[in-house]
Amino acid sequence: MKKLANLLKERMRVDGLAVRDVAAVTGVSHSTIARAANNETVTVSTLVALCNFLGVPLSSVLEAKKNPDEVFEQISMVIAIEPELSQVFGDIARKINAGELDTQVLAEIGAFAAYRIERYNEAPVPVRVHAELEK
Amino acid sequence: MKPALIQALREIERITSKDKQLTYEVRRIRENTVLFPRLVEAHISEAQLAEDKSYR
Repeated sequence: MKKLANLLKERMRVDGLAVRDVAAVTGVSHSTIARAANNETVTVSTLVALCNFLGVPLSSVLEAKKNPDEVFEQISMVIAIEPELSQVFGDIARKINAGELDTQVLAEIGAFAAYRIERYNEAPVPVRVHAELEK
Repeated sequence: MKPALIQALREIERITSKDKQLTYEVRRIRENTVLFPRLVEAHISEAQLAEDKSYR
């Protein structure tokens, strides 16, 4: 989440805060703060804590697509890779149709799902598979 | 923060967990159009390949 990392680093620079200072204020471990500042994967709980600390809405760091076609394309892509996600988007669509949520939420969730899916590529390849490929 | 948004993000987090990442990685390698033939070559004997060709 590049935007979150940039906002965090900028806030630490301006306020002269160290990683441990942010950890003390947010209640998040200093190693997790360092990971967030380094644009590495963080949990939703950390994401929420850091947004509260930065004083920004969660939606501002999710980097949601603006164009409806792009939102649809992004959601289609993540569901194609991880079909189980269709349940989440189905639930959100029902809440939007019932007037409980605005359509922007769909774009935000799509952006978060794409962010998580992109992280799939960072997972290490199991040793067994490596061995088979080298035969 | 919108509770419904947080709930959805947590569900996505659960679905795209570490275990799923490894599963996806294995699937991606198996489906890779360049690497897959190498795996096939390593596991199918010449005799079997010849037999396959005879059916064509």
